[in-house]
Amino acid sequence: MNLISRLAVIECSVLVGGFFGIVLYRIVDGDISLAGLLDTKGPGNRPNRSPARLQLLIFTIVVAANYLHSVIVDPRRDSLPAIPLSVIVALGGSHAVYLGGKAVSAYIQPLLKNPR
Amino acid sequence: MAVNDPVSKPVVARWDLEWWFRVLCIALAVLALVIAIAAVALVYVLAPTLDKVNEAMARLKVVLSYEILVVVFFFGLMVLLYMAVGKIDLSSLLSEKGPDGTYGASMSRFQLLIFTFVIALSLFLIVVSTGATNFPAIPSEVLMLLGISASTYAVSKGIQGSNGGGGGAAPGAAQSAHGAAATAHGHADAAQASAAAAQDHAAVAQSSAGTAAASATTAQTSAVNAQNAAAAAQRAAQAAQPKPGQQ
Repeated sequence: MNLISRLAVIECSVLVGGFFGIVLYRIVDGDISLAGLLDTKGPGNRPNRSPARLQLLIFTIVVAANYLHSVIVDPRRDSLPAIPLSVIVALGGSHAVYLGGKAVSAYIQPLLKNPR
Repeated sequence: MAVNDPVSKPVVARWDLEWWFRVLCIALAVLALVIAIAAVALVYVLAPTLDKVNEAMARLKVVLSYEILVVVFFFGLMVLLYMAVGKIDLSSLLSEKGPDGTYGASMSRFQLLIFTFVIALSLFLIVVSTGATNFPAIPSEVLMLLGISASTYAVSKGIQGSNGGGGGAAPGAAQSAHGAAATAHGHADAAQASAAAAQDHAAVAQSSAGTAAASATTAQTSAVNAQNAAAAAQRAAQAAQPKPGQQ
């Protein structure tokens, strides 16, 4: 690796690592709040646990961790590791469930509460 | 005896920190500029003759590569410094405004952040481990994954935006209520004025013609009707007054 490539790697390490580090530190510190991540607003604006959000969080973490693991195990490759189409479909379904729940709570529930 | 002032000390310290931060940013910018100018001067001095144009061009490419590295590094470093000291506010990075006007963490933003982190980190790891010789190919499945993630964020924001009018509608409703109350007050005033006029007419009628008792009675009746109308208008005005929660 010549000098300029080495410098580029160091520079990217500092910038990307610094950005990720700052965001993660702020999340752990509580400055970037995760309060209400799994909650939806119920009747009377009371927070209720949302299964749609929970399953999306689980899917997201599992797929992301699996992908990162496959890269860490074998990083010497010419391209990013491919993701099986079934995983993409499952993740798309999970996102659709989340968006469907959000749309129901945004549009359908107010109609049911106030039919007129 | 020195007075321990708990209020002014942190302000002074914060001002010092900001001053040093500005000095640091200016120093970094000046350093980047000096390095860039020195690199250009180096190419100019080392390749002064025309017969070495090709060699000079090759050298210029290398110098430009270093310059881009330097400029991107200092620019990125300044952004990082601003994020680290809180001048670039990240506190609402994952927050979204709800229909009731309060802020809460957004799952769509969170999953987009996670996938962006993971793909960027994977790309960086692969580039570093292969010796940074070429940019790795990106499979279509990864693009689909990022597309799904970003689309979810966009659709979620659309739902939130179309449903989030509650926070903005309350002031509008309060203003409408204020307008209706003012109009009702005006009607009540007009009704009271007409009631007073009718009473005056009734008094005039009673005093001017004792025989015109019937007309006086009629006038009194109209006065009572006008008073009733005034009372109704006042009740309407009270009903149209905005409640404290609508302000």
